[in-house]
Amino acid sequence: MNELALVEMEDLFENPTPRVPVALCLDCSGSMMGEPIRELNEGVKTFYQAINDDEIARFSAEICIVTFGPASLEADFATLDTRPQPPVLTASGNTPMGEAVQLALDSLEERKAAYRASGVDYYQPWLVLMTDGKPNGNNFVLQQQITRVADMVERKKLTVFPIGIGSDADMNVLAKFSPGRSPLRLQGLKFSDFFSWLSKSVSRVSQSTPGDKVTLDVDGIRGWAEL
Amino acid sequence: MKRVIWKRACFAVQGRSHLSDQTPCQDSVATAYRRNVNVIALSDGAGSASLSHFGSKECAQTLCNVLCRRFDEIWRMNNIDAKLSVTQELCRQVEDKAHDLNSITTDLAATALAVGVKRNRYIAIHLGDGAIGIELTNSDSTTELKTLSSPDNGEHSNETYFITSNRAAEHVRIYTGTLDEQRPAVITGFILMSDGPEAALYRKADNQLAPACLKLLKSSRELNRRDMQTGLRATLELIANTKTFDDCSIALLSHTGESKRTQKRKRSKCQRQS
Repeated sequence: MNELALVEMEDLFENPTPRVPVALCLDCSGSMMGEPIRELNEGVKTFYQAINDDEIARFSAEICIVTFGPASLEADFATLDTRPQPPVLTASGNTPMGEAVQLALDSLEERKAAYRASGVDYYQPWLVLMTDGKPNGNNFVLQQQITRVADMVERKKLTVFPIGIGSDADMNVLAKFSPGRSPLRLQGLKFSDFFSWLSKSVSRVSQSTPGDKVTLDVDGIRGWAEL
Repeated sequence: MKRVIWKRACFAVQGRSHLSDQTPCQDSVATAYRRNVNVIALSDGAGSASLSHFGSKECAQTLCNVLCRRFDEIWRMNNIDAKLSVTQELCRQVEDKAHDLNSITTDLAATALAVGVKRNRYIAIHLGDGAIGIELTNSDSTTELKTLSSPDNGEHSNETYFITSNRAAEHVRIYTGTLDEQRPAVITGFILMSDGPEAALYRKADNQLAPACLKLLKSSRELNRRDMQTGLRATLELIANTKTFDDCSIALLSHTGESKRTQKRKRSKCQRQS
């Protein structure tokens, strides 16, 4: 049928795929040493692999990884066709959660400015915040970032997934980052199940069109979260 | 003696995502010629609205009716009144359709794009995403494209405005003008597209339309109705198979030259003046 088309492929524009920016803000403090950090690395690898296997998400999901402590930008926003491998994360230091969220959101703002400058469309960005403890960085920065995130969530400028790891995770602080959606606690060290669920959710967003309501796979959450 | 001076063509095809989940094509197109007004209209139903294929059909038909029936009235209105009036009429029709279907209005959410031409004047209406382009023919007969109305999305990619949105009238754009307003260039064609083909025919970075739009308008002048429909369908299928997962629709209105009667009248006028 296409040989009857009135135009050639070269008459058409090659527009960039709309992006789904996903910031992973991950606690890699000393308490994550041993099995937790190994499982977290496996989980992040699963996430990259699943996104890479998805025809659309591979070109639309842009992943950024910020770890704490200390707060460090391990990988800036990029699609997996340009950066297919995740960084190897190591555990050390304290839990400066506020500083890490600040770094993640500042990177996100820079990325959004770059999208706008080059005419690239983007979906509502996601922030995944995972911790196994209590934040112990600068309290002023923490409060500032809680307000910043909550405000973005209220204005529908950001979707937040706060996840607690183990019984020592401060679920109250995580809740403050997420008005409207309660934080969830990971079942044991099921990082891979969580990241597998996350990749499917990112895939759904990347295929949505104007007016689509992207609903999360609630049943899938039972596979990794304590409900 | 044929007096056809504008040709209309339109088509809509189902996108890959709707093919796979067996959802009907939510884009609708319509054309009309009544009371000396040539109209093309297009509407894209919202993905999340269960009956938006009915909503888009209602919107496209209503846009044709409004522009044919009320062209001069809208032309004379100030822009704010025109936006309110057109939005109210579209909303009323969509509400009636929702009532007929035992549904709620938001289930019929859809965008709205239309162009009407009466003699030397045009009115364009746009709400939501998709784009409206114009073809300009210069005095040396070369042609170029300009974006008359660019897509109106929110900040994020899957957001836009529908006729059922709150305060839709604030987001409706109405353009009025004359075909020779960019003298010495003259407007000789209009193209409407939904957000599906927008992925291949419109570039947001510099607000440009793809050269393919000129080819489509040229074809619409040269081909007979059946061949044009076949070609337009194949073009939309090419785009739907390679550039987007969304439904694709296009409507074209192309000037095919002045009627012999007009040419004769102009010649007489020139002779009288000389």
